[in-house]
Amino acid sequence: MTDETNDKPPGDEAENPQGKEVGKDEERTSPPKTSGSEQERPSESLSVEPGPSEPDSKAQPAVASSEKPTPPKAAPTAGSKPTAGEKPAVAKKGPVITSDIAGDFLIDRIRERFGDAITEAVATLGQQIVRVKKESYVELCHFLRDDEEAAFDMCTDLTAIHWPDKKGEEFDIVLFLYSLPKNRRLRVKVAIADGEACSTVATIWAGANWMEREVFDMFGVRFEGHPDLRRILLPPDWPGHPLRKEYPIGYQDNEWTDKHIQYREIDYDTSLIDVKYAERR
Amino acid sequence: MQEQSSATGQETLFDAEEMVLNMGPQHPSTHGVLRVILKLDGETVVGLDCDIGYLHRGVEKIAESDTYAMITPYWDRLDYVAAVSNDLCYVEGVEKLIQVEVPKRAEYLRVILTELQRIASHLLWLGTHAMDIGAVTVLLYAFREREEILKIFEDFIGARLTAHAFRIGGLWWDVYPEFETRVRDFLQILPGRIEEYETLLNANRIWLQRTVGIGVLPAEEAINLSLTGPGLRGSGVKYDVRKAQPYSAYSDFEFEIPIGENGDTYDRYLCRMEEIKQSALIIEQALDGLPEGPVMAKVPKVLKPPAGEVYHSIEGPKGELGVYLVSDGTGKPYRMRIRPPSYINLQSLKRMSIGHLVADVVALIGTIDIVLGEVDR
Amino acid sequence: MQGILATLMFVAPDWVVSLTRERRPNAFWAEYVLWPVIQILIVLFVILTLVAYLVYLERKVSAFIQARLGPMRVGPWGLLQPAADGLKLLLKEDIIPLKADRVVFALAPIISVVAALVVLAVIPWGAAWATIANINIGLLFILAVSSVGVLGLVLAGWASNSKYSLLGALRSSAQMVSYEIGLGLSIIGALMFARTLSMSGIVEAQQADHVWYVFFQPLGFLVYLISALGETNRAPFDLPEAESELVAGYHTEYSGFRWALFFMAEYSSMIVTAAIAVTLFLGGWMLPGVTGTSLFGIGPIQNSTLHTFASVAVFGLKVMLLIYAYMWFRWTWPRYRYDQLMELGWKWLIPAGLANIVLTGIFYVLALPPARGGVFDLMREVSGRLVPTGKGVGYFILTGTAITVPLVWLLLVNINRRSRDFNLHDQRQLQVNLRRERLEKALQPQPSDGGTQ
Repeated sequence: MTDETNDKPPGDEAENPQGKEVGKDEERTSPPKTSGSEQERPSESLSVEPGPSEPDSKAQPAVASSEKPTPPKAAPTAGSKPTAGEKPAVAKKGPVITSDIAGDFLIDRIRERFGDAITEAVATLGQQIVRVKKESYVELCHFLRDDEEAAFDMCTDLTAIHWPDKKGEEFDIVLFLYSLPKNRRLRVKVAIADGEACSTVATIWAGANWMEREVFDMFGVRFEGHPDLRRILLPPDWPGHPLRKEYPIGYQDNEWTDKHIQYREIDYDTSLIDVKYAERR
Repeated sequence: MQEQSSATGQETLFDAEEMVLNMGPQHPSTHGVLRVILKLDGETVVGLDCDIGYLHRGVEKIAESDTYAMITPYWDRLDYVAAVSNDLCYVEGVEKLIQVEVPKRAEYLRVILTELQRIASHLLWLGTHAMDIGAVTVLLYAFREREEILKIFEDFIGARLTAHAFRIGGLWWDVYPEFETRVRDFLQILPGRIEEYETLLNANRIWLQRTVGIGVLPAEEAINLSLTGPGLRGSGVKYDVRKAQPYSAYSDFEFEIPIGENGDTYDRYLCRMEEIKQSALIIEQALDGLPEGPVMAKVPKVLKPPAGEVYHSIEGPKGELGVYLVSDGTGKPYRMRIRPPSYINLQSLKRMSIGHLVADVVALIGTIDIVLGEVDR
Repeated sequence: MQGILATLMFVAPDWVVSLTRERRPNAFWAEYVLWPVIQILIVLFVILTLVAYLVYLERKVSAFIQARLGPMRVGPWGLLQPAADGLKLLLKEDIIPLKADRVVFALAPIISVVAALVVLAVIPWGAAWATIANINIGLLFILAVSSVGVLGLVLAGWASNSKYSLLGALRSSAQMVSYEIGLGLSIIGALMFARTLSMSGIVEAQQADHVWYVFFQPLGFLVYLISALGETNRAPFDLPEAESELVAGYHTEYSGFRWALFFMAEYSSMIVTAAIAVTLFLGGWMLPGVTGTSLFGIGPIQNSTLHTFASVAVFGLKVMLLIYAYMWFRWTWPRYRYDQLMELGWKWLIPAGLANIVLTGIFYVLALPPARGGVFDLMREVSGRLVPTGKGVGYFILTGTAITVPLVWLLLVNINRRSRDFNLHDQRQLQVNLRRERLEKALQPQPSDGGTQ
C-alpha cells in the first residue's frame, strides 16, 4: 500500500484545542471508507483545477495558529469540531486528493489484462475509478463480471456527465459496480464523443437497462445493442435532451406543449349553456 | 422486444388472442402516477411495460443551478414517504466531499430519526399493500402508528411528510426535551401493534394464498437486475448497506438483517415486518447511548466544496439510495446524480409478473414498494 | 284467479277479517287481496329502510373496526346519513353512455332489484301472519327467483357498451352461479330433517324437534355461509367489485339512483341469504322458551299478536347478527383472486356439500325405525313427520360433528397446498437460525482493500 506521510501541513486538519476530542473522533471515524491509498499528492486526473487553491490558502493561517500534531493516519478523516468560542474553522480543508492506485491486487490484474486500454486508475476519497477506452469497454465489463477475483455482480448505477468543453470526449459514461462476494465497489468511466454511440452493458447486467434508457433520454447518448432504447421519463416525442449543459432550465415554450395542449374558450357574458370550443393547432 | 404501448385494433371482444390492458396513471393501486401496460392472454400476463415519467420534475437539472444547501429539500420530495432518510444520503454525501466530521450526538440523532422514518415508511407500505390485496383494515391501523411518528417529527422538524431534518454538517437544532420520552413511549406500544398486524396477516389463509409463490425472484436474477433493499433480501441475498459499508453511527449498534428464503411476496413481507422490529431495537440502543455535545459541525455558510467526485449510498427503506456528486469547486454541483432505488427496482416488475394473473400484478407493484417521486425524480 | 289466489295460503288475523265482514264486502277480497297488500307494503317499507340503514351500519361497523368513527355529521351519530345519501342519489344527473342500449341499460337494475325483493314474500318473518305467502315450495322459490338476479347483472354489463364492464359482469355472474350450486347443496341436509320446502314448515319442524338444525348440520351451515358470501359478492369474494382491480365491474357506468338500485339489490340479497340461514339452521323466529302461549314460562298468554311481534323481533335479531358477521368478515380478511375463488367454489364447496348430503342420508336412514328399514330406531312418527327422540337428537348431533370435522380438516389442509409443509412457527425458527448463521459469518472481517466507500 502507499505510505501515508503528509508533507504539506495538514490542510484538512482540525484545529482543536481539545486533544482528546480529536482523538476520539479519529478513532471513531477511520472506518473502512477512507483507508488506503490516497493522501500522497494531488493528481491531475481531474480536469477542473483552480477551485481548491483559494480556500486552501485561507485555511493555512487558521490552521497554523493552533498546531496540533495529529497522527498521520488521521489526516484524511479529521474534521472541524464546533467548539465554544473558537474562531470559526473552515470545514473544508483542502482539495480532494486523488492519486494513482498502486499495489492494489484487482487493479493490477485489470491493468495486466487490458494494458493501454485503461487510461487511468485513480482513487479519491477512498473510491476507485478506472477509466477505459471505448473500444475495450464491453470487454472490461465482461471481465469484471465474470472474473472470480473481480466478481462485480451488481451494477449499482450508470449515468453520464456532460463536459461541453472537452471536444471529442463530451460525455463521460460512469458505471458504478459493486461486488457482493468481495464487498467492494468500482467506478468505470468511458469517454464518448457527441454523436457517438456507446456499447451497452444491459446484456451483461440486466439492471442497467433502464439506467441506459435514462441516459439516452437525458443526454442523447445512444447505446448500441440495447434491447429497447427509447425515452423513459419524457414523452416519446419530446425534443431535446434536458441534462445537457446547453439545455436551458427556465420556462420554455416548446413545440411539444403546443402540440399537445388543448385550449377551450368559454364565453362568460352569455349564459352558461353557450360554450365555445376552440382547439389550437 | 418492444411492447406496443397502444391498444391493438380489434374487431370484436373475442377476436384478438392477446388483449392489451392499460392500468392507467390514475389507478387506486399504482401508488402514484404509474402506467402499466399489460398484454394479457385471458387473465395471464404475457407482457408488461411500464410508462413512467408523469412525476418527472427534473431534480438533477435543478441541482446544477442551486447551491448545495438549497438542494437538500428537493431530496425530501423524492421518496416523499420517507423524507428524512433521503436527506441523510445527500448530506452525508456532501459531508464526504467536504470531508467534515459530524458530531457524535448529531450522528446518533440522525440514526434515530432515520430509523423512525424507516418504520413509518414500512408501515405505509404495509397498509397500502394489504389494502391492495383486500385487507383494508390494516391500512387504517398502520396509519394510526405512522401518525405517532409523524407527530414526533412535526414537533422536531416542523413538517410531517416532507421533513427537512438534516443539514450539511449535522442538525440545525437539538431535539426538544420531550423527544426522548415520546420516542420511548412510541417504542413501547409498537411491538403490540406489530403483533396485531401479524395476527391479522401472517397465518391468514387468504393472505398466504395471495402472497406465497407470487413473484418469485431467484437470488442471481435479483442481483443481476440491480434489485436492492428488502426485495433483494427476500430473495436470500445478504446485502444491507448498513452492514456492508456502515455509515453514520450504524457500526455502534447491534442489529440483525432479516433474510428471506424463497424470494416471493410473502418473504418480502416478512422481511419488512422484521425490519420494523430491528429498527425499533436500533432506536432503543441509540437512545440509550445518546451522547451530549453539539449537533452541528462548523460548515461555512457559502459552501464551496473542492473539486472532486464522490458516491455515497445509504440503506433507505426502499433500497440502496445513492448520490453521486461531481463538484467543480464552485458553490453549485456540476452534476448530481440520484441513484433511485424505486426506479431500479421497478425493472424487476416485468420479470416477476410474466406468467402470473392480472390480480397478482397489483400485489407485485405493492411488494416492490415504489414511490413515484423517486421513480421519476 | 280465485284458484291462484287460493293457493297463496296464508292466514289473516281474525280481526282483519272481522273488520271487513261487518261491512259485508267480499271476505275473499279482505283475506286474499287487501291484507296481503298491507303486508307487502309493510315488508317493503321495513326492508327498504333496513337496506338503507344497513349501508349506514356497514359504515359504522367498518369504522369501529378500523379505529375511527364513521358518519357522525348528518343527524345525531350520523343517523340521517342514509337519508342524505338517498336524496343525493335521487338528485344526481342521469348519465347513460352514448352508445349504450338505453332500454336494457334502464332495465338491468330493475331486474336485479325486483328479483331480490320478490323473494321477501316467502320468508317467514315471524309466527302466524307475519309471512306474506307461506307456499309449500318456499325454498325452491327463493333459489329460483334469486337466480334471476344474475340476469340483471349480465344485462348491465352488456348494456354499458364497455369491454371492461362486460368482462366484469361475466366474472361476477360466473361467480354467483358457481356459488349458487354450493348454496343449494348445503341446504339439502337440513331439509332431510325438515321434510318440507315450506319456509314456515321448516321453522315449525325445528320447533317440533326442539333443536336448531345447525347442531345437526354444522358442515351444512359452514358451506352455506361461505356460499352465501360468494353468492352476494361479499367479503373475501368481492374481487369483481373491488376498487383496486383492473376490470371495473358491471356497475361502472351506472350513477345516481340506478347504481343505488344495484346496491339495494346486493344488500337485499344479503338480508335474504341471512334470513334463509336463520330459517334453516338457526331456528327461524323460534326461541327456546317462547311459544304461542307462554313466554319463558310466563303464561298462558292469549295475545297472539304480541307473540307474532316477539317472533319478528327474534328473527330480526338473528338476521342482524349474521349480517354483522358478514361485515366483520369483509373488513378483516383480504380478498381471494378470481381463480382461487372459483377453485374454492367448485373444488371444495360443492364436493363438501355432496359429501354432506350422502353422509347425512346414510346416518338418517340408519336411525329410522326398523319398520322403515332403519337400524337404530331413534325416530318416531308424529303427525306425519319423523321426529327424532331424545337419544335421536344426541345421535344426530354426534353424527353432524363426525361429518364436519374430517371434511373441514381436509379442506383446511389441502386448500393451500403449501400449508401442508408450511408450518409458520417452524419457518420462522428456521429463518431466525439461518439469519444468525449469516450474521456470524458477516461479522468476520471482510477482505476490503481500497475499493470500499
